[in-house]
Amino acid sequence: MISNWQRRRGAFNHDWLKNQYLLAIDAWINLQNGEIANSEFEKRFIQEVFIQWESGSKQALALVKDFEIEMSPRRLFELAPLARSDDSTKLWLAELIHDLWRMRQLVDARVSEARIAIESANAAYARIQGSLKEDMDIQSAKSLHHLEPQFSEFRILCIGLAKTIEAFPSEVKIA
Amino acid sequence: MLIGLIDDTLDPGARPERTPRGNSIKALLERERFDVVSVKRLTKRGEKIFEERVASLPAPIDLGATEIPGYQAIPQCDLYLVHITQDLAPLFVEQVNARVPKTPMVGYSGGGLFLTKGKIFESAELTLIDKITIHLSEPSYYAVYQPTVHRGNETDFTIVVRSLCDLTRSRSAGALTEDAFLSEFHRLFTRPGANYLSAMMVLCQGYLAMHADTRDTHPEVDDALIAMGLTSEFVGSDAGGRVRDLTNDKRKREVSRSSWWQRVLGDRLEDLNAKLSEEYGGELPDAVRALTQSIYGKPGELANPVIAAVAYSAILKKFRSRSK
Repeated sequence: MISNWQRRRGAFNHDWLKNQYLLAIDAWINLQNGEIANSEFEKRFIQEVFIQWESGSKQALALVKDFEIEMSPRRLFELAPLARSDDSTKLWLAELIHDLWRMRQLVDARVSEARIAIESANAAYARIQGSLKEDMDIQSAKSLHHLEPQFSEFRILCIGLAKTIEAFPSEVKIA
Repeated sequence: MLIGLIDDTLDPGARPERTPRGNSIKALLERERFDVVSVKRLTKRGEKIFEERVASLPAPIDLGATEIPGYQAIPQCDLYLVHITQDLAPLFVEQVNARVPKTPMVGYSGGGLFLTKGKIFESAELTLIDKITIHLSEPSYYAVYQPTVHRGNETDFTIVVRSLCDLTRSRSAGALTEDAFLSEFHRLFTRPGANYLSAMMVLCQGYLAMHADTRDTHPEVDDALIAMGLTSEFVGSDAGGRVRDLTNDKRKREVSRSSWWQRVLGDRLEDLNAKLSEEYGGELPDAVRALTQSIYGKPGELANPVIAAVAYSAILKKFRSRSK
């Protein structure tokens, strides 16, 4: 059963965070360090690319929040053959296997870890935005070289978030 | 032999000096004289997905790039090479199977491939999954471990893809028709649905939870309950309170009736055994057969929780071996 949650995780974590956003952050850090030159990308990075974190962060939070609902084995009662259970069984047995799954899969710990990862990245992002406000006239990568450590920190936190989200189970675990 | 290359790093518009990995693999396969149809993966992708990547690659890996036909279409091929990651493997497999079922696929993944000035441009996406990827120390014709490329230069890259080509040429081409290959391949990549096995596991969990009072006298029951997560510590803890509340004698009687199982699993023993065998991928263990026999047997046979406990453990063992 490929869940909608798994598709959403793929779209967020693989498609956007790892294959678009982090690559762009990498490219920006390379620009800051003078390792590459790309004026078109440099011009639009802060205004168009970097700020995508604000919506990305919301998607990450929603993804983490929905994990327990969408990946629980109690969803198997929506499908045959378990959907044929009587109503009473559906209630108590679904609840029972959900609780056991939460315990086995350390759901609370995973969710908590992911939330912390998101909050940490949010905080790093806010620090960079705060610094950028102080340098409103300057948007070139080299002139913002002094912010490279902040971008690098943000990058590491984003990678950490990607790994945390990747560590969530990729299938509905029954046992 | 026609190879379908499915890779999310294919870039139809790439310039030769800034060639993403998928294009490079395509070029090398063609150099090895394979007929290749390249396919970008089917999920929704932005047009500019590689813009930043390509823009930041000053070091050329000039392996040539061509226009890619068959964009967003999967034609019938003899073999598919699929770039896999933990996030995407199930989606890839699902989509490819939906369109071209029973066609062999080779999964590959690896490490950073490109070198910028003094440092590797390493994508974070390339996480390997042990359950699908086979390491080089265990060569196989159905899956390739593309080793991490630490220098990210053309030499490394060529070694990686050469290994893919050699593997494909010397083993896969000949092995594709072998039953052993196909069954192993399907075990890895086209894991059959486990609807009835899963349902059996769920029902066993409910049944055994109601018979938890027998754990002290039946070690088999205790083992199964522990595997389910229903340890004595959990039951006694605050978190286990809800599970405690769900357990009562009325439910214990309910789950001990054949009708409770048959309502879900159907009313014919032969049909259930056939479905379970198919999902199991072979002969059902005696322990599972003993349980199905009890479900359709004489009234009262389900009173012995050891039968369900042993069956549960047998199915669990199978599930765990699949997810390794």
